[in-house]
Amino acid sequence: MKQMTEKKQNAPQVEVMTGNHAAAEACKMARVQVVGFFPIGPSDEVGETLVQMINRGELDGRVVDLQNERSVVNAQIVATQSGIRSSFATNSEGIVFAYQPLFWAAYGRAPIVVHVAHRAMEPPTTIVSDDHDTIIFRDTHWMQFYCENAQDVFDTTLQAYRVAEDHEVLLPAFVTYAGWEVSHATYPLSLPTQEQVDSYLPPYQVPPGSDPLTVDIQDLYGHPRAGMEGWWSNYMALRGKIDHALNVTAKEKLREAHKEFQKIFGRGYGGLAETYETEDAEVVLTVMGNVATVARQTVDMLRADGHKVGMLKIRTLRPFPLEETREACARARVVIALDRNPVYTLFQELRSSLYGRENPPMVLGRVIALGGRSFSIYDMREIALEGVEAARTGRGEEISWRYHTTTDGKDQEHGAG
Amino acid sequence: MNWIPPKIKEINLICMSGQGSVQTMEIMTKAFYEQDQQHVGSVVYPGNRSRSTPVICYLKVSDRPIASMSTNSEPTEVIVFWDGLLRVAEKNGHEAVTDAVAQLRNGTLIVNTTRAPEELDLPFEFTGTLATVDAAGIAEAHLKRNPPPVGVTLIGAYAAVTGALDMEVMKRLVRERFSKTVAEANIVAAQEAYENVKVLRDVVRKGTWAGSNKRQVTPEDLPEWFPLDKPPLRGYREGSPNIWRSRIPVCDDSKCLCKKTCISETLCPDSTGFIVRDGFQGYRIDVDYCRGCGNCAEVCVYDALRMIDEDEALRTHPDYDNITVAPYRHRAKG
Repeated sequence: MKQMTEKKQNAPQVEVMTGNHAAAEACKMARVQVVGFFPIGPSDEVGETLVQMINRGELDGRVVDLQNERSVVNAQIVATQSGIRSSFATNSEGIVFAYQPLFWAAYGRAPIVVHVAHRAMEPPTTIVSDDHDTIIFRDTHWMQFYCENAQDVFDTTLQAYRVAEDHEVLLPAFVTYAGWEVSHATYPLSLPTQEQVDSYLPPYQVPPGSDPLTVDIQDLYGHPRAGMEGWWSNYMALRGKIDHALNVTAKEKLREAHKEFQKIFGRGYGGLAETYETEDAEVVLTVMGNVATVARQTVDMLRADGHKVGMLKIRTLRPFPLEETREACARARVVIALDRNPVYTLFQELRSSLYGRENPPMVLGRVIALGGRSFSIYDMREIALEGVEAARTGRGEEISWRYHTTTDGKDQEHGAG
Repeated sequence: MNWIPPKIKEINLICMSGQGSVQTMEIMTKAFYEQDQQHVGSVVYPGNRSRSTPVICYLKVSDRPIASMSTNSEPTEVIVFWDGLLRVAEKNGHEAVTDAVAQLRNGTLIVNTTRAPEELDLPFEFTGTLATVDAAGIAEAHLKRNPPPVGVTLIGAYAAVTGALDMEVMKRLVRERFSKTVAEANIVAAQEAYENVKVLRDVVRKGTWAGSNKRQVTPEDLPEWFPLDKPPLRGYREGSPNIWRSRIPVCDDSKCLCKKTCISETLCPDSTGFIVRDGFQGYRIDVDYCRGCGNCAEVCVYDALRMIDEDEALRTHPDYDNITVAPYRHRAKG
């Protein structure tokens, strides 16, 4: 007991906090100067905590509370274009309300970071979690990070700011985590020192030649009255450039940012994707966000029985980790996509990255845990065993929805769990 | 199976939103972590409104990293923040509450109630330790709020019954979490609960009701189209057991002066209370739908609203005279 206490004192400062507090703490350490705020649960706690920090004098920032999420994102864009780092947290109906300025942020190259604590879309009225609210923004050239616990939220926020604000990337990013299950759940979090964060994340500098105070912003983006021909040709070139920035440059920068992170903070998650026991895996469970906490234990459970099962955790849905996925699934015969959204995006992404190559694995889609439904390691085990069976017979159900929960037969008749 | 399952201690906290189970869970998690438990974690199953809907917090202490998506399956300790929730499970089948309570077959059950453990009848099968404490009464006396948040008070009871938490650690964490006056009031309440909790060990109860099977709903179980086959929203007075209301707001009409703009009306979370503008009367509620959350009385500018015990209000205002109105008739003209 005494030894443990001593060991803890020498270790980095560890605090037990919720995912929302971790996001706020990361924003504070990133020295955000503008705190955008519009309340919507479960993510409003991020803004509330930051406001408290400003009131206590811990953070030198200013609160921007406007009448809706759309205005707040607009304010964030303007702040960022003038070289000020900002933060904002919202979810579900809130982020959908801000749909229009999301395009301005991406295609206007404003590297803003928005935290999203997932909440399922209405109707019917619900406040519990699934991924659907950010999955629908997959096609807006935003970067999307999916985090699994408070520590991941903290670390990913710093990485997101760093990569987004890189002058060769300049793209906005979502840092997302499950509502309630991560946002309001308490986990131990190791906090770095402010010096470490400052050395990792320098202050944001507007790229030379794009400062709105010195450059005519309309020259930068093209003006519709400057002539249709010039405008149209610029438009396509601009889109091409942004796509390159997201799908080529940002990937490299992310891997680099991750290596640097590991060097300074001493922990890491594997860049764009994290693998767990995939070296010889015949069945690969592909997950995002906090489903990974369940998948890891399931892999342990099945490995003990001799099944060759592994896990691939996609950290960034955009840019999609193509190379990592192909590498992890190279020896797999069945790849199972576990989607926490009703449109099975991960399934589509996996098919498009694996199919069309030589001897592709069978890709199966499983829709799980929508609207906050409980999902245990025993549920995951059943799905993984379906994959093992499919690897043996070469046949499996392509898409299926998993409605029921189980606790390994112990309590099935009462539906516990 | 060769795999050794993790050693998990699971605790369920069940409350009505507004009673403070999420913050309780936060403090308890921190306390467990400080007592050299490497892996602690929790899952919240939230209510749909900020007051008076069931909230369940699943707390886990384990020797492995926590799987954060699954609710508890075999809790050994359950804290029920309001004794009515035991009946919610049985009567209207709120599935999550139902399971969270009925999963406890063997362990420790702590209930906030005025009754002694001997008098408390449980609707489900249970063996183990049964403890009751009048946390609401204690918390209200010290926190001066109605309905009172009883979370920290119940941690005191938990520490007394199980001995798993150190009161000194808990007090320090409460001081870190809340402002000074709130923290001190909570600590006094927790200490009182620590001393006054009534414990009955080795209880064996046989319940009639085993649990629900409703969480495994598939599309085939649902009707073709909205609305689902439930009856339309009905008033609580008609017998919904889902109501957590001991007090209702009563308006002193001589003090009610705002006439046009009413902050209580704006802040009523269910839009059940409003000023009657047609032949001005004052602030009235729809007692069928009022949750008794006390928001209106808390914000009333002229202190015209008071939360009064419902039984007492019925004695002075028989049949809810001058308290309730038929809602839509007056609202349409406002």
